Order: sequence, then structure tokens, then C-alpha cells
Amino acid sequence: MSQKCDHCDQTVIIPIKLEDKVFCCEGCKTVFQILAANNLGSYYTLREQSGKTGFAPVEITNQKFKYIDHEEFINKYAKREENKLSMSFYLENVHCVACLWLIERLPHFEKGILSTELNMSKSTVEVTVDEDVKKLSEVAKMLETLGYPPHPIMEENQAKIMQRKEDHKDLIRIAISFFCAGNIMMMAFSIYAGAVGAIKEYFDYISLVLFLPILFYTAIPFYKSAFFSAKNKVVSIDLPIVLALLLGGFLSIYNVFTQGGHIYFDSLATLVFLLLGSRYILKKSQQKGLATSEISNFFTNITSYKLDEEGNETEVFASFLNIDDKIKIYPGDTIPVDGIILIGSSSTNNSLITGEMLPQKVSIGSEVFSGTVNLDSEIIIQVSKNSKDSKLGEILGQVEKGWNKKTEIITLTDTIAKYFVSVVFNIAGIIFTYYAFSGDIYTGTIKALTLVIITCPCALGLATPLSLTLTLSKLAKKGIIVKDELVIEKTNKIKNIFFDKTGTLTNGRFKVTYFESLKDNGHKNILYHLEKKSKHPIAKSIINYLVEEEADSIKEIQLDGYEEILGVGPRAKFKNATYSLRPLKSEKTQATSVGLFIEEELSIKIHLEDSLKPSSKEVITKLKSLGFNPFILSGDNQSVVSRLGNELSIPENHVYSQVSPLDKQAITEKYEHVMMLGDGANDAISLSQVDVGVAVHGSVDISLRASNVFMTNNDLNLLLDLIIASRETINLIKRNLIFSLIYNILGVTLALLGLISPLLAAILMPLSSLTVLLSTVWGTKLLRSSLKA
Amino acid sequence: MDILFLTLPLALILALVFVGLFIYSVKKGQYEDLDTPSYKILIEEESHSKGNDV
Repeated sequence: MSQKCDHCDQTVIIPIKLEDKVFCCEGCKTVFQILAANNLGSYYTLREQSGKTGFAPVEITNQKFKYIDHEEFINKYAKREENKLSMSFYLENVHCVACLWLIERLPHFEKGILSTELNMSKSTVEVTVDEDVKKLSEVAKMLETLGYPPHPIMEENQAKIMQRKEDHKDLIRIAISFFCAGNIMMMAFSIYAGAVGAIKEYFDYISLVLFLPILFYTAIPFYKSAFFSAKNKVVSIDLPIVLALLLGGFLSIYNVFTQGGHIYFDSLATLVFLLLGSRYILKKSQQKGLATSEISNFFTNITSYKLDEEGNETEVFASFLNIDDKIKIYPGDTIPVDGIILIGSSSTNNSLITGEMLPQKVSIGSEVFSGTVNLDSEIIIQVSKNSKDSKLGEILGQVEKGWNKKTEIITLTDTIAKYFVSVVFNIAGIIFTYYAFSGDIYTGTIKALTLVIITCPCALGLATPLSLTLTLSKLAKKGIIVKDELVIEKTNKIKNIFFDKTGTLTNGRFKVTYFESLKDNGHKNILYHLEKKSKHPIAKSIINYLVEEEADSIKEIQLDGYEEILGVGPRAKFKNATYSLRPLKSEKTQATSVGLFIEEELSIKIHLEDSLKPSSKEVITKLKSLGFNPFILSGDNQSVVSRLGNELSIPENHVYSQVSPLDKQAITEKYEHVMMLGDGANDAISLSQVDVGVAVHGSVDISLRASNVFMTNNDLNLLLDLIIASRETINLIKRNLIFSLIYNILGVTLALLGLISPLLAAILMPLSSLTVLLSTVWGTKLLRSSLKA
Repeated sequence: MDILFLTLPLALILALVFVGLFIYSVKKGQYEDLDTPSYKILIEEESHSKGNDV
């Protein structure tokens, strides 16, 4: 009898009907009505065509986004042009072409909206309204009603503008390199084919003119990076490339004017084009990963309800709150700032900050922290700290410090480049000295220069970014988003892996592990309705359990006199009997246990536990067999954590419980080659300071920012994929290196024997690049299997 | 073969025009969002004309 909602993919428990349609909730019904009223039914057709499933039901909150209309907010977030006002929002739940269609259709049926431009890759929309007709807050509410909760973002900040300009420059450099390299190649082709005399000279001069933009404009990024690495006294792969480019370029220019000797314009121009291209692709694939963490802090990005002296509520954006402001926090809302409770008592879920699973009771005078969730009832708090000084702000500060502290690692290619440069220069030096002593300085110079040019490790410079791009983009497809390519090399050195408990090894939410109905089966329905109104995490778990296992026993009924007793549970009347949900103390189990009572008689017994993710055990076992040391780091209490350690057979001394965010960092610091997996704000400091920080699915945004890898899928097996893919990618880079070394040795030998001609050079250089490219695309067998989606 | 001395520069100038057009399109921001336009072509055009009178 399970029926699907006609708007989302949720199974309907208590149907809300509208003519012949059924909906799971009011939210979904409203969207359907709006769509029907505006003739937008094709949304559903489009969505079906896109083939995507798993749409979540529409949640409507009571927030009105009034803060958006405040002049102060508009000045900071919006762009104004006469009476046109535009603002950008990050939208949740944007999934397919139907969303694009619907959102871009808004101007057609809402008066006053001038344009809406959706960017699918970033999930952002830029809305422009006519200020006199429509308020931005109304558009925001509209978007929320349609099922896309909006979050205002600052589109035009300095960093973004800079990045965009940098991207434009890169593209223009690539285009110019391509134009020059392509045309030089055509000239070179006819010269190799045998052009002589005036024609050859003419072609040479045209090639020279075409080479100048490459030498003086498009190759600038290489000069910069070579200069920086030289300044920091390290050798990067760019150094030999720049040397080959400059020496080869000027030698060729000299040869054009004297019409003697070899001209390398074609090989060098192609090299610059290919390198620029491959680096641009790598940069783009990293930026895709970064886009997810671009959203500014969600904790301060929420609406709060500020109270004035008469006790009236106004909506204020949390980052505009000041010390001593009074704000009201409704049950289920995240507390945006640190504060002291003035009125009311409730319990808070602190798991994001401390890692504790069980709610904490708070009452008048208690301190509450930003990032925690208010569970039971309304409270009014007085803001006690600026967001910068709040507990979360402190963690964020530490995270940023961690970023700066991270030492630059010397990459594999840089290490190789170092040896490479010294070997080539020594040989070049020997050749020059040899010829100089025999009195022929000119031949010596030419031969030494030829050697440097011909051994330019272009294949290596090209293949490394390409194999990394390939791995990164395939990992992203599997759900592993890697923010910088160094992760691949660092992962390869990892020995110790630290796991956070709540949310990483476990699901991070209570799950019903035992359910016994002692009396009437109809009580299950009463239990459902009692818990339906509660925001408590336990209530949500019981609802989930009932919906999944006992959907048949749920019907529409009306409970009277519902109230939630703090720290105990909900209570209500049905047909003159009082039903209440209370904790059971007598049960002999580690689990949290609650019972449903009719008056004083126990009717339903329930045990709830935060259970292990299905993949945890398997992954830990595999990691151990691969030679890694797994650790557990948890803020939760000792008995829970050590039981978990036993279950996963992790040795006692590798299990840490009741550790604070700073303790976590101190512990991870004691070890070398550390990877850490976590999700909460309490893991953020460690995540930012270990070699590889991995934020797992469902992480808070502060952890996303702190870490360099982000998993978009709940399955811990992704960790194994990441480890194997990294190892194989490094192997692949090494293999490419061997290929390019073979070519270089061949080149050196030929150069030494004086057999090298521009034609041979023109064949050898791209051929080595081609071999390495093919080898990269082919990958290794293990790499292919670990990256298979 | 002397004609090459005329046609080659002409060909290069023509190619330069295209480089210029590319630079123009980059600066206009046509390469900012490469994902959305690929979805947009899937949407039927007809309803565009409707309700444009706002």
C-alpha cells in the first residue's frame, strides 16, 4: 500500500490529497499548486526525462528572509543599478534540467523579477528585481517555497574577481600559444620538406615573429614559477623548462639572423602550448572541488530572531548580531552565536562541537555555543561573544593557523627535476670545457646548448599534471573530491589513519536496535503521533523506524493536550488515557532505552544506538591488512568508545576517548604521516593540520574548509579507493618518468655524437610527449579498477 | 611561389581575427559557466514567447 508522493520521491504515510494527486507534506502540495496555477506542468516531464531520482520533500520553514531587505544587508550583498537590484544566492537541491527550467521561468510568472540566471555547476542563482515592484526577500521566500532553500552569497568579492581575471588570462595565453604554435608548425613543415633559399629565409622570419609572443607573453607563468622556486632555493620542474625555452629561443633567433644552425621554434612553441593547456585543465579540476567549500560559513549564514525592548521579533542575519542582543531560538534551530540563556530551558545537541552523542540539558544562566542545535523548547539568549570569539570562531581561527603552518612538501617531480638539472648541467659543462680546451669555443657553446634544449624534460612536465587531472576527475566522479593535487603524493606516504567516531565510523544518529510491543498494536500509531511533533533526535529515529517497519499501523488520529516534558519526553491524551514516552532506567543494556507508557503501564520498549556504518568494519580490517595503523579519536565517553574499539578490533592504546578539539590535534601531532577522517567542528583543527584531512559525508562546512579531501558518499570504502588510486597514480608518474628519461638519454647520446638535427629534435620531442600521454591515458590495471565508477 | 609573400601574411591576419574574437568572448565571460548552457539546449523554446509581457 505504499504510495509515492506526486512531487518528491518520499513514500507517503499520511496522504494529503488534492483531487487525484497525493502528497507527503504541505510543502510538496504547495509547489504542485504553484506549478499548476502557472501552467508549469512540464517541470515534471522534464524531470522525468532527466532520469534523476531521489528528490527530497519540500520543507517550508517560517522564516521570511526579511533581513535581506535591510539597507545594511543590501549594501553588502547586492548590486544596485537605478531601480534594479541583483543578488546571488546559493541554492540547495538544484539537481537537473527541470530545476534550471523552473528557476529561469520565474520572471515569466512573477511580476517584478527581471531575470534569474542559474549556474548549474555552482548551484548559484543571480536574481535581478525591480526594486519598486518586488522585494528580494519575497523572491527568496518564493525560492524556498519551490524547494530550493536560498543562502545569500557575496558574488563580487575581491578574491573571486581576481580568480576570474586569472582564468581569463590563462585562456588567452592558451589561445595565443595555440595560434603561434600552429602556424610555426606549418612553416616548419615546409622547411623540413625541403624549402630552401629566399622561401626558407622568409618562413624563418615569420616563425620568429610568431615565436615572440610565446617568448615574451604566454610563457610568463613559467618564468614566474621558476623565479619563485629559485628564490626559495628549490628546483622545480619549471626551471629546466625555462632554461630550454630561453636558451633555445635566443639561439634560434640568432640562427635566423645568421641563417645558420638549428632552429627550435616549432618544438618550443608546441611545448609551451601543451604545458599551459595541461596545467589549466588541472587547475580547473581542482577548482571544481573547491567550489563546494566556497559557501561562506553556514552558521553565521542563518536567520536569527532578534528581540527589541518591547519583545517584538525581527529577522536578522546572524552575522549582523552584536554583543548583548537578545535573540529567540526555536526548537530545531541551530544556535548562531555563543550566548547565555535568559529565559527558558531546553537541551542542546553539541555533537558538532564536542562529538558527544547525547543531548545536554541547559537552563537559565547556562552558556550555549554557536553550531549547537536547540532541541526541546524555545529559549531566549543574550549574545555574549562576537562570532570571532565564539567557540566555533576559535576553532576556525585555529584551522586557519593550521593552513599556514602546513609545510610545503617537495613533490616527486621537483625532486627528479633537481637531479635532472644537475646531471644535464654537469654533462653540458664537460662538453663545453672539452671543446674549449681544443680551441673551438663556438662548437662547444652550441653543443652544450643543444644538449640543454634537447633534454628538456617536457614529457615529465606534461605528464604529471595530466595523470593527476585524470585521477582527480575520476575520483570526483566516484564521490571523492580532492582539493589539491599534493594530496595524491601525501596519501601515498600515510601510515597512521585517525578516525573520528560519531558520524565517521558510526552513522552519527540513533537507530532503533530493539523494538518490543508488549500490548495493543494500536499503540504504535500513538507513538508515531507523539514523536511526530518532537524535534529530538531520538524522536526522529523512532519515526524513521516506524515508517520503515510499521507503516501499516499508522493512521490519522488527533491527540489532545500535547506537551513535551523537558529531559523526559512528550506526553499527550488520547481517548481519555494519558500516553507518555519516558527513558527506561532499569534496562540492562549499553543502549539508550525509552518506553511508551499508558498511564503507568509499559506498552512499548525501544532500544536505540548509534550504530556502525556498514562499511566501517570491513574497511578497518582491510586497512590493517594493507599495513596501516587505524586509530579512534572521539569526544564521546569512554565506555562507548572502547566498546567500539573492541568491535573493530583496534588495540586499546590506539583508542582515545573524551578528547577535546585541541587534544585531538595534540595526539595527531605526535605521529608522522597522518591521515585523519572526521565530520564535526571538533575535528576541524586536526583536519587542517594533518598531512591529509578527509571530511566525510555530512560534514559541517568548517570541516569541509579545513580538510583537503571531501567524500560525498557515506561509504567508507571510498577511503580505500583514494589510497589505491593515489599509490597507482604515483606509480604511473614514475613509469612516465622512465619513458621520458629513455628519450632523454637517447637525445643526449645523439647530441653528444653530433647527430641531432632540427628534424630529429622535432620528431623526438613530441614523440616522447606522445608516448607519455598514451601511457597516462592507459593508466595501470589497478588504477583502472580502483577508479571504476 | 612568389604569391606566398602576399597570401601568407593574409592568412595570418585572418587567423588573428579569430584569436581576437576568442579573446573578446573570454572577456565577455562566455567561458565562465560551461555546464548550464549544455542543459539549456534541452529546454523547448516555445514557452519563451509566452508571458514575456511582464
